[in-house]
Amino acid sequence: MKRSLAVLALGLLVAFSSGGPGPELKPGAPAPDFTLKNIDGKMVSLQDFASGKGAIVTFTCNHCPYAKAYEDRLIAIDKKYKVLGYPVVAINPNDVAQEPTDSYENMQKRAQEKGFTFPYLIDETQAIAASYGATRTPHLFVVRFEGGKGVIRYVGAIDDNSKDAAAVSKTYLADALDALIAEKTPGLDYTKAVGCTIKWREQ
Amino acid sequence: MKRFGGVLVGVLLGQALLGQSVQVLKYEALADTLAHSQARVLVVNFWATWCKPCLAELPHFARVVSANESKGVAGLFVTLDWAENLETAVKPYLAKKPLPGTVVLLDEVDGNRWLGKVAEAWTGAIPATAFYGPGGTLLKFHEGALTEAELEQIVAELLAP
Repeated sequence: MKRSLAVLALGLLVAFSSGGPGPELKPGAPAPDFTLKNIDGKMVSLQDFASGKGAIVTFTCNHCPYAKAYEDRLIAIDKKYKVLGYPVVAINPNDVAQEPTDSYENMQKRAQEKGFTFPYLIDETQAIAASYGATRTPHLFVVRFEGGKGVIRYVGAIDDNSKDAAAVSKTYLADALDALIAEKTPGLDYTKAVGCTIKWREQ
Repeated sequence: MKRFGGVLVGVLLGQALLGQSVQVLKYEALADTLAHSQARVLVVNFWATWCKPCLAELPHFARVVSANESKGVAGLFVTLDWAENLETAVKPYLAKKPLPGTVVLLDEVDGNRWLGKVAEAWTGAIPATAFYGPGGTLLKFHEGALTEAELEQIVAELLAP
């Protein structure tokens, strides 16, 4: 028994250290906890938000045109939904060696330029992106706290127009959040979106 | 050889001068193109000029598709660049590095509308590559970059009787 546990632990260690992503977590799955460094140097955990209703865990980055196209919309969503119990928590998972634009210093710069109203955390080991099965930036996971435990309730895109915020007709994320806030099940809890592949560290 | 070289230079020069044509289309037109494919294996690579890992793997596709053309392999390169960037980004790139096969620009802004129709497993990251048999039967799908060896192996497997 002890031995099989040790093998399991080793297996998990290998799985996480290999740098590759796990399967994308779907609505209903427990939300993996994390403690990551924010751009202000302080550590931020998913559990820090357990006193509210939930959090909008957003894998994003500096360099990706799709991530950039959504920066202003992410700020607007944070401003609107933070007071309703669902703040944005942005996480940059990219390997800096492959994408120097996504370095910690550049995250600080970008957050300042854009006036980010939300934490912007660096996932240096990429373990958190791997545990959520994130594949791209931006890639969103809405977490709701249920009895103190985070459960994923929406996965996917922000809306139906990556190019033009003014031409959006379906607000996928906001619709899901509104449903959750009204204690309802989101009508659509999983959407797909084009994004930049996460730059996993070379094996 | 000299003559062949001259023809080759002429072709390359022609391509550079005229540029590789790029049709701008919606998902339905792309699906129609796939459904009418007669290639034994149609390699459909989704890329964009702003996507570094895409640009890094395109030469693998260029070589493997060219090397297997006589065996019925064809390439369809679908860029997800925004249509406004066709003249400023896509065409200049292709002028420098022409691709062997058809290049189209998929003018879509809502991935949720079409990504799942290409492959249920696709979450939307690019690069991504789908391999089709005649008539647009999906044979294989891969999300993420491919090395030249991986691509060669997939094509060889799909061509195997």
